[in-house]
Amino acid sequence: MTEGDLFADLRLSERSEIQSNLLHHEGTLKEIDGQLTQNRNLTSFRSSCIKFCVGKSEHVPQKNPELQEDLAEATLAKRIEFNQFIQQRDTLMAKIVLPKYRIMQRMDAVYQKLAQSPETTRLTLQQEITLFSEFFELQAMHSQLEPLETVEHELTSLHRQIAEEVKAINKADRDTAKVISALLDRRKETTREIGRLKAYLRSKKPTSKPVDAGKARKTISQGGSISLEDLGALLDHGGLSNIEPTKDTPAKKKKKSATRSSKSTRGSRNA
Amino acid sequence: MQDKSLLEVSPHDLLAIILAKRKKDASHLPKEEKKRDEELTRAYGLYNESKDALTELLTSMPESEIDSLKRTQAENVVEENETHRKRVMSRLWRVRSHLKETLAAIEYWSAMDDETLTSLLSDANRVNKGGLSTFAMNKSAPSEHGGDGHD
Repeated sequence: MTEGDLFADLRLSERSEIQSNLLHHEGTLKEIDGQLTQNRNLTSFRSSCIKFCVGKSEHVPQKNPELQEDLAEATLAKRIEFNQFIQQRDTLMAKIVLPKYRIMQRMDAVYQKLAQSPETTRLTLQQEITLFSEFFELQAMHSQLEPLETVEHELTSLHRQIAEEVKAINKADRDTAKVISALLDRRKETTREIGRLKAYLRSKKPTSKPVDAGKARKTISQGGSISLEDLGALLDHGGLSNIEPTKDTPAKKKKKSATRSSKSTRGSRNA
Repeated sequence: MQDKSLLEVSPHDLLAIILAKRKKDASHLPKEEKKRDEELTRAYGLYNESKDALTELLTSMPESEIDSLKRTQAENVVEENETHRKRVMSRLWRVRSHLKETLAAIEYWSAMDDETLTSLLSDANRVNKGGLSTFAMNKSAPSEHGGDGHD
């Protein structure tokens, strides 16, 4: 067994055994490809989930039950809930405008103006009427913002949970990336092995038409041309040294006279 | 007043508080008016005296013989008294105006009926029913006008 021999381990094996090995490797490749597709889909789904969960994308990723990615799906549901709370809060704030603490500050100021009589500027009746209305509107605004406390609490809690879960998804994704990398290595090895087995089987394939050395020898002896296969066959069977030329040699060429005619050729050149 | 207690103030509570404040004002404003009236009478007296003194100075001798310093002093006194009189008069008008406003307010708040109260609480009722607050309406109004302008 030589060191540079790619097929050293295969030479002792039977052809059928190698073929079975090839089939096994092809099956493994299919299995690896399946796993790669699944893991890539998983990574893609997680990536979309993370983008949606951190607010970088508004597109809600489609759930895929085949992936069985419970954590990402749960986080997705939480983010959807979070978005609903945000919408609820924004709708409420668009109606009320002022935050609770500003409402309280303004209520206090309005109450002071209505209840106390400052020496400098006294209120007119119209101002008093306007402030009276405003005071109770502020009271109503404050009570309308009551559910906001629960919403804010839920938002804080969900935000914390989503942040933690996104971290966990990221970690899981890093693990999946490692798995994908390992699968790609395995795929490369398997592909290479399949190629090696196929190449060996191809090299050991029996030729359909064996080269006839005798016929090739005859062709050469008659001055004909031979193919590379014929040449190989000849080299295997004694070489070219024992080829005898055939009796019937081709007609001799008429030799040209060595002596040149002393006759002048001038004028006849153009004839 | 504590934040929470402000939320518990009812329209009738606030109405009573306003009425009490107005009545208190109404009780001491006539005294103040009388005081300012007396002050104005004094200011008028001072102004008239200084004006008479200046007239006397100008008519007592020919104009060329009048001491210019004395004349300037007399004119300044008239001017000062005039300013003081105007200021006191303005104070008196302000007190009278407050008194008038206070009496009108007492009449208004005392005669408060359910219908008027409901109209005063219309903004609060709208907000309670989930409508826009006045702040939201004021906020959206300029943006609507602005939007039309830009389009």
